[in-house]
Amino acid sequence: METTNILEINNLNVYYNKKHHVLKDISFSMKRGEILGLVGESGCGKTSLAKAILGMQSNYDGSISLDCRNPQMVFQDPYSSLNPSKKIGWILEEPLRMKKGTEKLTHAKRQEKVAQMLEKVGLDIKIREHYPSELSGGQRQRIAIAAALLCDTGFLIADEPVSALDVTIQAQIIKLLLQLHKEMGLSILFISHDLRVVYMMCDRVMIMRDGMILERGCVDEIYKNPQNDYTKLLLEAANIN
Amino acid sequence: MDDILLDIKNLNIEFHDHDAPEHVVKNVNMVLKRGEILGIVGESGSGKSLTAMAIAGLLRRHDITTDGRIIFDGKELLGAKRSELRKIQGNDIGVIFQEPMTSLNPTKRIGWQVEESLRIHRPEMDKAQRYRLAVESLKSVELDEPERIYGKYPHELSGGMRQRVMIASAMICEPKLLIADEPTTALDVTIQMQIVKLLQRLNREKKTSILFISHDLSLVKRLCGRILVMHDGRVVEEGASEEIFTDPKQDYTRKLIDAIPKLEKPEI
Ligand SMILES: Nc1ncnc2c1ncn2[C@@H]1O[C@H](COP(=O)(O)OP(=O)(O)OP(=O)(O)O)[C@@H](O)[C@H]1O
Ligand SMILES: Nc1ncnc2c1ncn2[C@@H]1O[C@H](COP(=O)(O)OP(=O)(O)OP(=O)(O)O)[C@@H](O)[C@H]1O
Ligand SMILES: [Mg+2]
Ligand SMILES: [Mg+2]
Repeated sequence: METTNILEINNLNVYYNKKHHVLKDISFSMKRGEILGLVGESGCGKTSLAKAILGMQSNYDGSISLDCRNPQMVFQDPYSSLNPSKKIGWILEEPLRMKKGTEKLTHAKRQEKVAQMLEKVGLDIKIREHYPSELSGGQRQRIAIAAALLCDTGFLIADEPVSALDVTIQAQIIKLLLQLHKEMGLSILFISHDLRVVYMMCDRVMIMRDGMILERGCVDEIYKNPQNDYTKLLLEAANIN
Repeated sequence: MDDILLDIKNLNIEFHDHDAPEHVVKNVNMVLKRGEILGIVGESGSGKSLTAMAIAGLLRRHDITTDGRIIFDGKELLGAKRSELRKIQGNDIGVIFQEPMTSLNPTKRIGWQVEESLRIHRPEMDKAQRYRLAVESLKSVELDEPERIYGKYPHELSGGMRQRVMIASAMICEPKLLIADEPTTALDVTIQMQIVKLLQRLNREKKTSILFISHDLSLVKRLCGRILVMHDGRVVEEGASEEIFTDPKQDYTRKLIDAIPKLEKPEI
């Protein structure tokens, strides 16, 4: 069994426009095959952290090492990450078309994979003919998840991936992610405001506020015995404990 | 005055932008009383947002047919002139859209966008008055340093901050009807609670009627007196919140209630 870390972050600081210090001395690591939850106040820097991990921040210091070939992210705002001028079928096939050499897939094989993935996220195959603007919020969110998973990634950052889904489909997506985690060893950084969903998904959780990690540990322990006042406040507001 | 603010009769929405027409909202009926908070829950893709957009007069496209009746404050909206609609939009009806990024203008500062309805519907106001109201409104949605947020662009805000900006702009003219389409999905639970209190206060003090669309069933239960359940373009069940939760009549409603996340690990 591999025990190496897939992600290691040391003393990370991120700034916007020089003045705005958004992430303050963040350090943490993730084991390969782990699901780590990230919870925190709106505006505290969760999405900024996710973008830093994917190399999308220009103004930072500290070290980020991600040991994974093809990291993927499901963005909080799926609309802006889907190409508006392409049909869903095209968007989902794109990562499959990129496969080269021995991995190259025929048209039929690509179609088959897309169809299977659509079924897994609970969408009708007809949706391939639609443009992103022609979908409901929850349908778009599922397309963003499907697109990320079709990349066969080992590391996924999911930023509020189930917030636009009704609870039955939400349960289906949670199962799908947990299955991929179990069967393929998928590592997930799972950002969410829903503390119950975090409990279902994650082994460990970090609580963030104002650019800092306030508390971290096993989900069970933190939910049962929170140390930080803000964590307590969150759990209370969510009617946990 | 009639105590019914919104009366939707046999609403049908059909898209003609593909080979075969798609019938996505089917014979929807709903009634919203003045001062009422009505919840809409249901399947993703079941037509909740489209129904909301139809009420707000935003489905006027050649490739969409809408039929039925939407009577708001005694006026028929589906057949109304565009100029008639423009008087109502943002003034009598405020909408918090499900995806802030698609409705905020990326090239305009937040303050400008929050003030938009004031510029249209309150021409007598001067710049300073608009500024004061906009800052007040941003503050009411729990945004720290509203004066700073006022000068920012949408991409400089977090997802939850943008969502609160949407709420602030929808409420600024104190509409008779506030349509809130998934208004708290990007908010942490403590801020979510503050927003719920804000909506309740608005409803109590200004008699604002609220159409609250959400996947968060416990939130809907707390906020709404009555709930509509939608599935596949139809309203499948309707009733008092308590009743829907304790004694659901339809299979789909039961399935929804059973799927409310609990504090336990699912079996894989
Ligand atoms: N591109 C940007 N330019 C300037 N400031 C930014 C930018 N992106 C984010 N910020 C600021 O950084 C802070 C953190 O934002 P971030 O999006 O990381 O928060 P978040 O934790 O994801 O919040 P939410 O839960 O609301 O999505 C906020 O104050 C926001 O205004
Ligand atoms: N322009 C369009 N052309 C064709 N179909 C469309 C178009 N826009 C939306 N639809 C379809 O209409 C249906 C209803 O969409 P709507 O956005 O109202 O769903 P919703 O209930 O709000 O779902 P969610 O909870 O996921 O936001 C969906 O199946 C969607 O695919
Ligand atoms: Mg975010
Ligand atoms: Mg919707």
